[in-house]
Amino acid sequence: MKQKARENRIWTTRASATVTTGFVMYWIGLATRNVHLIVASGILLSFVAIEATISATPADELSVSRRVSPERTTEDNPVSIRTSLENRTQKRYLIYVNEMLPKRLNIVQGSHSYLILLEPESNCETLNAVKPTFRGHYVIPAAYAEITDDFGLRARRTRLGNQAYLSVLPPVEDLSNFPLETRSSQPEIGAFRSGSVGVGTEFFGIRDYLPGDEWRHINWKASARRPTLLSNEYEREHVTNIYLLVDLTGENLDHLKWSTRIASSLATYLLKTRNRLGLIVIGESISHVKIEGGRRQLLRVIDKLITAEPGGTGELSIYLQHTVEQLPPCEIMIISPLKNENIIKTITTLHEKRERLCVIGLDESQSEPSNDLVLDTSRLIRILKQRATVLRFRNSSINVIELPVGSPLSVAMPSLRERPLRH
Amino acid sequence: MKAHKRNLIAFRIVLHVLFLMIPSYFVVASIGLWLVIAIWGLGLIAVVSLNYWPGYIAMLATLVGGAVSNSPLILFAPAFCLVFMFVIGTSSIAKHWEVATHLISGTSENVSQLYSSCIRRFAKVFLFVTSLALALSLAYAVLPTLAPTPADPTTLAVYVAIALIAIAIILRLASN
Repeated sequence: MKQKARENRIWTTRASATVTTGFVMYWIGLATRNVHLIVASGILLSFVAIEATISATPADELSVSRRVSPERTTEDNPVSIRTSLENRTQKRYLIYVNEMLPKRLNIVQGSHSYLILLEPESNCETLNAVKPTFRGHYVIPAAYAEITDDFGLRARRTRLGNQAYLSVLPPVEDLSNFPLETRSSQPEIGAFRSGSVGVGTEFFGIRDYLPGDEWRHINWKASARRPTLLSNEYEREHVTNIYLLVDLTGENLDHLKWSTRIASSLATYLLKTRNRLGLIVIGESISHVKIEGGRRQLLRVIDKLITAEPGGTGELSIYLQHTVEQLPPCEIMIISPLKNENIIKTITTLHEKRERLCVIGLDESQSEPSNDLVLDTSRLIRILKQRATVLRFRNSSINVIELPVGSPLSVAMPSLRERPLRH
Repeated sequence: MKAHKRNLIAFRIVLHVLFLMIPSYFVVASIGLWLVIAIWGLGLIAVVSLNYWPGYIAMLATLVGGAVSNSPLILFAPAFCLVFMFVIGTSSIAKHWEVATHLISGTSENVSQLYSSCIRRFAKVFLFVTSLALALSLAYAVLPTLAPTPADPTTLAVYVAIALIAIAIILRLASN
């Protein structure tokens, strides 16, 4: 959207200082009858007068547009910010632009500050590429610009364009090649809304036609090759109820990115395979998305994963306890780097209330050791502590799937398949 | 030299300088020379480093040196003008320089790469303004000698005031 630059014309500190010094020297020269001071003051004041008359008054007609492309992206994918300026006057302008980008948007191409020399009746486009390092909704404010004359005596401070918005989604892995099938039936009593209609939609096989079969189930192509009619057989998909509990406590950006990536990939996969999914995010506050199925639920879950603020203590609050108690019969998958003692206590407490619990934890043992002895020792202590936690969980019959930081979720799919879903 | 004698000399210098305004000691007598050396040194540092802070000090030293040694106006005025313009010039291109040195490599669309173009354009304006300022400073130096009462500060002050008003009016009219 184009808009006229909001202008604010001022005399700079330099101009004020020069003029004040000139006048002070002038009066002191007069008082002390010193010709040198008077001549010096004359030079200073003459300079300001000449400069103010010769140089163009900063920016009268300046049209600015700013575009972020694409407006929606995933972590670590560069986004371009284009700023177009159009000068409709006959004057040349020197514009000092300073981009005020949010913390987690790193510039990979271009610069935070740059100069634009705008020729008369011309336009100019600047390009900055930024790489978002963490998911979230970002507001990219209008660039701060200072349009000055040649010697910096006058300046207009203005904002270039409007603020732009950028949504950064967590990366989602494609798990469509890894079927995740349950080996038992739905344990819930009573009816619930299913993603499919009728007896089933998945093709199972072909059999002889039996009286009572629906006409639309007759396989006409196969029947043409046989003397008798053949019917298609379908089976109904098993629909699982799963709650994802995502740990976003802590400040380590890699761990937060890992948790979000795993959660978004699993949520996308489970909902696309017609399961019902709910979400609880433990971060600065506790966010809850009730269990549902379908595309809208996926949008709700992804949005919650984007907007949830990391932080918090991870303690089992009354709200979280109440929420977990109210959950329908389902499996709970906890995605956590297992670095927070409070989260570990929360998992233990949850296990006392809910039997079907599966923890996807972070495995740091395969990460590269550094050359620093202190860092290596602390890493080793962390790994040992985590091993102890995992063993304690396994002894309490909590299924723990460990996943290295950089490895894709598909690595954990065989373990996920074999998890004890039903008892 | 004994301590009390040193103190006595220092006291004598202070008295002479403060009340009699007569430089009686070697160091005080050669203050003009020291100031000239300081000006040249600072000017050299400013030119080599393209830093305007030594330039500001050199400007101050030129002013003080000119006033203390009562140097002829025809020498003082252009010298002060040149030092002043040097300071203004170096401080004006400081922002260009800062941006050019902190540039992350990018495409040609980033206009900061036109640093040389900015400098060329600035050089033109700078030379024009410096020439005008230099001409005016020479005029300020010459005019009092042509006046009915030569070297009268009041007359000079009136000339400066008239010149400033004239510059403003003439250039405003010319720009329109």
